[in-house]
Formats: sequence, C-alpha cells, structure tokens
Amino acid sequence: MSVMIGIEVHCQLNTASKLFCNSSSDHRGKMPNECTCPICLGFPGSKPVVNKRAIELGMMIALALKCKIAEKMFFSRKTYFYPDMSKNYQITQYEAPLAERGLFTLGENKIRIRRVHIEEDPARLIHVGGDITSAKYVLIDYNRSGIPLAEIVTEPDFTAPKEVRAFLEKMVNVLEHLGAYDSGKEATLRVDANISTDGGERVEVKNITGFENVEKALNYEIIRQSSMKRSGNVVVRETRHFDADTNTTKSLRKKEYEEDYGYIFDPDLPSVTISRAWLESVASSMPELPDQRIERFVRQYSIDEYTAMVIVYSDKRLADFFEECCARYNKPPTVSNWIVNYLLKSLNWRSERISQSKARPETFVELLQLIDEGKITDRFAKELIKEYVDTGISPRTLAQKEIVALSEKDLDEIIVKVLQANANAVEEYRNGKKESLQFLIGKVLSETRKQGNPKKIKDLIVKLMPR
Amino acid sequence: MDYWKIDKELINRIALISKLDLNESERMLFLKQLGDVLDTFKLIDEVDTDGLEPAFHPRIIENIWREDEASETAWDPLADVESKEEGYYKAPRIV
Amino acid sequence: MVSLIQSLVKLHLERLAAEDVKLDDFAPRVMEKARAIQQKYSPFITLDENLGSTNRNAQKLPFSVKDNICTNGLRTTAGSRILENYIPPFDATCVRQVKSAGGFVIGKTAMDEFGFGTFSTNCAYGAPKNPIDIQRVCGGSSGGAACVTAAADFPHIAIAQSTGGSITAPAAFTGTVGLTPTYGRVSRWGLIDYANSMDKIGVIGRCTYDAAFGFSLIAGHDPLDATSLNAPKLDYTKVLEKDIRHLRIGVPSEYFNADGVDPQVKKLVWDKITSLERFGATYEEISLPSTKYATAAYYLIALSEASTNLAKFCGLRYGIQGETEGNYENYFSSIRERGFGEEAKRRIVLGTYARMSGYRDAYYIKALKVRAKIIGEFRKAFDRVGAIATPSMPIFAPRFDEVAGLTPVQQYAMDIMTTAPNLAGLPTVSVPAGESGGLPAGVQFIGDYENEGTLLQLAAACEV
Repeated sequence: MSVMIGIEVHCQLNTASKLFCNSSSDHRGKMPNECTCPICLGFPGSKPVVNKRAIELGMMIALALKCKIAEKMFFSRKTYFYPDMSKNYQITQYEAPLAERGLFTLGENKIRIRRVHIEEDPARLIHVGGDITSAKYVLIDYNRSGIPLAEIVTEPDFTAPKEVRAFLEKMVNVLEHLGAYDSGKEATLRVDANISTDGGERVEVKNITGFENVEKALNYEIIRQSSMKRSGNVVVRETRHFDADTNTTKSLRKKEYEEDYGYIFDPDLPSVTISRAWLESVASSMPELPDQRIERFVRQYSIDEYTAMVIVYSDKRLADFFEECCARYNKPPTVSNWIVNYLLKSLNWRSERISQSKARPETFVELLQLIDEGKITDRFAKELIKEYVDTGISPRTLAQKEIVALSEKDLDEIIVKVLQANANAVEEYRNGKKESLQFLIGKVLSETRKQGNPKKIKDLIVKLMPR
Repeated sequence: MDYWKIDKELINRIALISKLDLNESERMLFLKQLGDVLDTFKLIDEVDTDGLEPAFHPRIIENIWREDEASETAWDPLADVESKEEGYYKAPRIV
Repeated sequence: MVSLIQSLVKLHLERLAAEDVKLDDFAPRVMEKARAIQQKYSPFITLDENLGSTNRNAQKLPFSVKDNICTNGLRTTAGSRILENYIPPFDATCVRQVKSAGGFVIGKTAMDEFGFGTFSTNCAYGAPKNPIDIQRVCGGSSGGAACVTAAADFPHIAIAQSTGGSITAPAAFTGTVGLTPTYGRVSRWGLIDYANSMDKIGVIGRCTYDAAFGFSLIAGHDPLDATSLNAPKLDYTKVLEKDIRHLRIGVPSEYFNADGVDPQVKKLVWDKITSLERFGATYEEISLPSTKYATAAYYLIALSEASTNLAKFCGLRYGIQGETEGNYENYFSSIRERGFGEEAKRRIVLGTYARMSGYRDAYYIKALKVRAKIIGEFRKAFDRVGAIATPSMPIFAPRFDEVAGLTPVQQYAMDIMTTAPNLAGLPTVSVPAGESGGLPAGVQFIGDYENEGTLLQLAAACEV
C-alpha cells in the first residue's frame, strides 16, 4: 500500500513575551488567565504590536531549513469562530509568509518544506464532562493565547509514520539548538498530519501532541483507511481528532458548511521588510546546529562520531550536559562513555529527559572522579548511577557511608577471609595461573559490594597471601 | 461566474460563516439591498489597475515592532464576566 | 489670520491662566449644562455622573469623547447593544493625553453603531437631534460629538473619529469645525475598530481655534499603535496666525459635478473658496478622475475589515452575555443576532462576502488596487496645489423622515465627498461655508500628509 503523509508542525517559540503583547509567554506555575492583558484577550480598542524576537527566531528556523526567506512579509487575519479564539480571527500569515521552499535531510530522505510562518497560539480549552464531542461545556485559559508559534509545513513526502516521528525528533533537536523552542518551559509542539493511502482522499488528523502519539495516530489511520477500502467503503476527506486515551482517531462532526476564512491583510500590523543586512546579522548570530556540533565534538573532544551523534541527536540538553561535564572533568571520552552507556540508560528507565532529571554536571563528574581516586570501582559506579539519577544526591555523599565502612582494616579482614575460603585458587595462582588472581579480586569485590579500588585490592591480596 | 450576483443560498452561507442568526425577513431584505449595492459597486471592474499593488494602508508603513520584554498587567480579566469557573472563562461546548 | 469667531475655549484658557475660574464648582456647573443639552438633543450615550468624586482642580477643560473611544471606568459601547455594559479597563491614548493636560470627560457621545452610518440614525441608544433644527439629523457617525459642540454654551472640545467621513459630515450639518487628521497622526490605541486602515481620531470644535487646540493635545507618536506616525508634537494654535498668501487651492470638478449635489451647497462652497482670494490664495480647477470609484472601494475595504473586527463580539469575555446553553455556534449566533443592529448586520454580511474565497480578488483585492490608484491621483494633485477644496457634504442636513426613506445605496452615495480622502489617509477639515434657509453648508479642505497646519489656516481664513 502506498502512503503519503504531510505534516504541519506548530512550535511555541521561546520568547519572553507573547507575539503581540507584553504578557509573559511562560505560564509555568501561573493561575489560569494570569498571563493575559487586553491585547491577548482581544479587548475592544486594544492593538497588537509584533515581537521582533519572534520574527528573528522564525528567520533562524527558516535558515536552518534552507528556506527562501521573503523580502517582504505581512500578517493576515484568518477569521473563524471558535471558543479558543480571543478575537474570532487568528493573526497568521497567508499570502506573504516568512519563508517558503526549504529542505530537511532525514537520513536518505529529503523532506521538502513548503513554508514557514509565524502566527499566534489560540487559548487552551478544557472540555468538561466529556471529550470534545461530548463535553457539557468548556473552560478557557487564555494564558496560551497569543504565544508565538512557528508553523512549519512539509510537502507530503513521508511514506511511513516512523519517518514522521524521526523527522519530528530531528526537527525538535534543531529547534532546541536554535533556541527557538524550549521543551523545558513546557512549551508545546503540536502536529496536524495529512494522510492519504493508495491515492485516496486526504484525511487530516489535527492537534496531536507528542511524537509517539503522531506515530500512533498515523498507524491507526493506515489501518482504518485500508480496512475501510477492504470492506468496500470510500475514505472521505475529513478532519479527525486523535484520542490519546484509546489511541484512535475520531471524526469531528462534519459542519453543515465549509469554513471560509476570508483572509484579509491585518491592518493593525505594518508589513515587515527583511533586508539583506538584517538577514545576515540574524544568520551570523545563529547558534550552532546539531550537525555542526557533532563535527565539533569529534574535533574538540576526540570522541568518535557515533558517540557524538548519540549525544547530540538524543537531546540538545544532553549535549549541553556533556560539554559542561567536560569543562569540569577533562577526559571527554570517559564522560561520553558514561553518558551514552549508563546515564542514558538510567534516564530512559525513568522515561526522563536530562532537562527533567536531577542529574547535574557538577555532581555527575564526581562519579568519575571517585573512580579515579580509587574510592569506588567502575562496577560500583554503575550501581551508584541509578541511585544518583533517582535521588540527585551527589555521588560523593552516596559513596561516603560505604567508603567509611570499608576502612583498610575491614578490607584486610575481608581479603584474609576470601583467601582462606579459596585456598585452591591461591594455590593455582602460586603455581603461575594469573587468572586466579582476577578470580580472587572478584570474590573480594562481591564481598565489598563492589567497593574499593581493584588495583589496591590486588596489591593487598598479593601482600596478604599466605606464604 | 458573475461575482457581482448575490443569491439566497449565498446569504444563507454568509449568515452561517459570520454567525448571524438572521431571520427570514432579514435574509430577504439583505438579498435585495445588497444586490442593489453590488450593482453600483461593480463600477470598479472598469478601473485599470494593472501594475498596481494593493494599498493595505494609505502609505507604506513597515518594520514597526516591539522588543521581547515581558511585563504584567494588573487587572482582573474576569471582573465583568458572569460565566466563569475557578479562574477560567466558561463557554458553550463545541459540539 | 485672525478669526472673527470668539472662541470660548481660548477665553477660558486665558481665564484659567489668570486663575479666574472657580475650579471647585466648574465641573458640576458644566455637567448641569450638559444634562440640559442631553434633555434637548440627546447627544450622549453616557454622561459621567461620577465626575464630582475626582479631583476638581484637575478638571479644567471639558471634553466629550465619541463612544467608540475607550475611557477607563466609564461605559463605552461604540453605539452598540452588544457592548451595552462594557466598562473599559484602560483609557485610549488620546483620552489619557486630554486628561493629563487638565481636560475632563463629561460624557460619551452618540454615534451610529460602530460608526456605521452617515447621519447618526443607526443608533442603538437613540439618535442625537440637530441643535439647528431638531427635526433634522446631526450627521454621522460622530453625530453626538458635533451635536454637543454646536449646543454647548461652555468651553468644550469633542474628541471624534472618522473612517470614511464621520467627522466631516456632522461638522457640516451642525455648522461646526471638524478636523480629520492624517492617518496615524493620532494614536488609535483605545479606539474600537471599524476599519483599522482608515480609522482616525480627530476633533470637532465650535471654531478653528478649538479644533486646533484639541488636536495639538492628542497628536503624536504612540508605541501602542504600530500604525502611529513618528511625527513631532506641535502647537497648532500657533499656525492659525500665519496667512494663506500664495496658497494654491485645487478645486476638483468631479466633486462639484457629481450626481446629487445640492446647487445651493455648491454655490455656498464656491463663494467661500473665491472669498479666499482676498487673502492672496489662488484656486484652479483640477481633475481627480477616479473619484467616482472611491465609494465602492471604500465600502469594500472598510466592510472587509469591519466584518473581521466585529467577529470578536460573541458573548464571551466582555459585552452582553447569555446562558451558555447549546453549542458555541448557536450561542454566538444568538448573541450576535440580539446585540447587533440592522446596519451592523448588513455590513457584516457585505464585508464577509467581499473577502470570501472566490470573491475576494474581485472585491477586496481589487478595491485595494483602486485605492492605490486614488492615492496616486492625490499625490499628483499635491505636486501642483497646497490644498484641495470640495463641499463637505452634497446636501444640507436632512430631516429624520427623509433619511428613513433612503435605501442603503442612496445612503452610501452620500459619502462621495469624503470616501476618497479617507481611503488615502489624507487630513481634511470641514468648516462652515455659509447658510441657506438657516441650514449650514460645509467646505472641506483636503491637505497633503501631515499638513493639518495648512488646513487649519484655511479654516481660520474662512472664519474671517
């Protein structure tokens, strides 16, 4: 079966204030409707003034997606009535968007970008007493109303849901590197996906949050559409809504009429001319993109490309974490090894991103320092990392009680006991079998619950061995 | 298509789009009156506007913006609203 | 030019400077007079009854404010039922400026709902009556503003507003002076939008001095309005003394020869223009051939914008509300049907139509191009002349029963003198040109961008 998917990504831009007013765009911990003013609530007499930073972030995104940036752009009013709309028109871009015709490389695939534009986010609706189709009424929180969004529209170049997911993951990584998007601020990224199977009608699934959900929604659609065709039904062109509880898509009630957005130029907002000089200054202030960063990691930290890719692509914050660790502990390959092989595992186990985790560079490097200092073994460190990620307590503190408990005298006693209990191995070692020494070290370590420096233990074993 | 012609179906569609619960006599009245108005407006068809850009404003105004600074507005947005619940606006359901 | 008309504002300012005004009962006495005017002519939607509770020493000069301009804490309805309970949480920039200069707002003046009218008869709260003859309309949409100005026997300036002629029309019908500034010269912050690319806040005064003084207070740049002009503040009362020698006035034949211009109006306006020759001004006939397209272009653009502006009124957040039963579409439709008057609905329908896909290019976009053409013709004209003179309105103030008999086509056609300069965002002033049968006619001068000074000089010369 052939599948064609195109998506629209709506990314909340990382600005301090909203797109057209001074209200804060960071509403973490705020009461509903606290981050509002007459402008983002569309009060009569209020007027929008555009946030320059939002335009510049949009320009950076367009540059990163290799788009052609408009010399002149303007904002339009898209008029339709909906309770999440403060003015019943959305200020967006229609005939003169910020940028068009870009390209995004995804492994072997090239995904064409149709356009990138800036628009305002509507308010957040809470459906009370049911879902969107069955609620008794809605509650509206306008804190989100007016937050700048970049809308990135692709051509229908995806042939499988997993490609879409991979695209989104890579795209977010780029957006975070640009500083255009900050997942840590509870900024959201919402996706509308258009999918058609075997040349059938296009079905739009709107407003999906979370990459996993995008993949699920599209997989569900493929199955739904093909089973419809199998049973002799025709897939109709419609808008559907993804229900994250059941992992299915539902048809939104068809309206008795087609919407007509009646776009006009927004006469409150002067047009924006993007001069070459402005574009160049934005381009030169652009932060490093993921691919550039990978190259630099290989060069600057002498780590292999694969490891660099794992770190950079998995999360921008993880790459930041890596660099901050290297600044404190100057053995980058060791740092990268511990991040890729152990830290990530612990994070994944907790389904956490580094930005949500209690792990901090300054405490994380203690783990590596403790190993160097011979205070703990590698193997113990691997155990400790779980507790560290769970609690955020510094490794030095965590290791402290164990280290104290394991005084030299205690270690001597353990070793003597192990040697007595493993007389055979001692005998074999004496007869020249080197492996037996490793065996004995292992035994000691299992008694110490993997504490102690193996080299030191080895020396003690040789010293304490009955002659 | 004669785009200067307005008919009943179009009036009905506009009423839906613009959320006006027009009654039947209003629909008939507007149909007649707007038909007459459009008859006089179609005069602009004859204006030669080749090479002219749409004038969105009387004069070109461009690149007016604000810096990205957040501030708080001291106000109660729900002060005059009857339909509210726990700091939220309460509104009719979607479907 | 020294005006022969005694300005009550100027006299009052001089007395204020000499500390010859008893401020502790000035505002209450003014309010008493305003209530008497309200009894007779109904120019107000809301009178500020709480004035007494504020600091009287700051209440030096009375202003009225058109009801589509927000006043903090004072009801602002834009002449519509849908906002009958709306108390703005902020002042419009012009109101803030007036207040900080010692002005105080006596009340909010009547208007056609959202500015939708030429006569101030599309009023949800009653139409103001013309003080010259209460059988006649005041003109619109700033009818209440002109009405108070004409009726007040106390110093007063009206803050008014025009989209397509809403200052010129009532000024002409009431024999007052109306100044419509260059688009962007006065901040629109706090103005409830009709057509944002044309809306201009201006002033109506008893005489040119009053208009010049009021305008000087409110003109200036405002970062809250992105379309606000970055031009310096000026004291326009100072320019009134300059003469108009060598000023070349263009007289466009299209305005005088248009259908339906009353011959008496034409004669009075011509006489007024020729009378300016004695001050050394000259006039010449010019041609603005696209004038006849202006009204269609104006309505198509204005209503496209207006129909989006009015979308926000739906019974949520502010304004009238109802029981939130049913779904949102039913709720919005019923609130809007109840809250909007007939003309507002008519304009929403026409404006929605003009921007619908399939029609948009032929209506909205085409009209914007016609606008470009009209602007171009004015630009060319101002290469030759310093100002353009036309009748303010094609007719004298009609009686209410005459207006009631007009179809929308006939009503819209009345805007022929004002739509073109408003489309072009050019400043205009309307000043009395004389009377016929006790009814005033107005002459309208159109100036180049930011050239309000010349217009005020011409207006002052008309008062000599």
